[in-house]
Amino acid sequence: MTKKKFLKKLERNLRGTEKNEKRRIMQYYEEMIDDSTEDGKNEEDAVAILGAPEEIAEREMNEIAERENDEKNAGKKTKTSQKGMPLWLIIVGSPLWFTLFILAVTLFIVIIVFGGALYLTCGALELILAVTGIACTIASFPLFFMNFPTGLFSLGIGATICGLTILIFPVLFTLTKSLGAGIGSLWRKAFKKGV
Amino acid sequence: MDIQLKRGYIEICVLAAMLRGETYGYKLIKDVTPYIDVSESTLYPILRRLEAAGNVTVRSAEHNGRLRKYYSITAEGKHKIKDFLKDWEEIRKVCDYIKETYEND
Repeated sequence: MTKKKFLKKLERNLRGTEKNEKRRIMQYYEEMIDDSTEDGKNEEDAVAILGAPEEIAEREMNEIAERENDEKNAGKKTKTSQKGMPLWLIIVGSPLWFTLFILAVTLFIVIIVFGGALYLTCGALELILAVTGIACTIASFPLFFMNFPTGLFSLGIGATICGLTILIFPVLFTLTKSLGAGIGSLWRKAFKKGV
Repeated sequence: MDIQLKRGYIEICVLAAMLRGETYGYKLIKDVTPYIDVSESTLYPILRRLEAAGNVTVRSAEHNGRLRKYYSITAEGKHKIKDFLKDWEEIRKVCDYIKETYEND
């Protein structure tokens, strides 16, 4: 059989094979015949060594099917292992992640409670100072008539507390505002994106 | 020899032949045949499998006015040979034991 006839028969028997795969097979056998003739064999012998094109085509098609099946199975295995991996990690890593999770939750609660308490303390301190200062100042007026030194002392105390309230107000206001914003942001982050 | 087992050996033989440098199909058959029987139609699917597994790379180059495919072994292919040799050591121990007990029977 000539090379041309062999390749034609092979192509015909590879009908149904994917175009690129068919081209590769044809190129391989053509190359084999060419290399064989280049090595000194005559064309007929070079073709005869390869065997019947019908058998070659059948073997190649079976091989392609087997290879595709293997690739499919390999894909399935990869998918399974990808699915199984997190569960495996969750079980094996549970002593570590569970401890870390508890630690994170505790830390979050401490920050919220401590921050909240500080926020309330700052607000309460400012209110108490303002009320005490105003009360002392107002109370000093009737005291002036009853006992002048006591009224003067009460006015002094009231003025000092009012002064102190005005003096520390910007500091306490900024601190309270920052604490409020910080706690609010932490709370929002925790319950929108998780801790 | 079992077909699957033989196919496995041919794969390693083909890879080993590539260790000497880039080679082509016809030369591979000539290099490997003295050690294990390989036909043209057996080699093609083996080369395709090795290529698909990343054990070899293929390039086409002109030779005497036509295109010829040249195959080179990759790092993964070398690793496959290393694994085979490692496994072979274990198989040899088992074979020695089987042979020894069979001969003494």
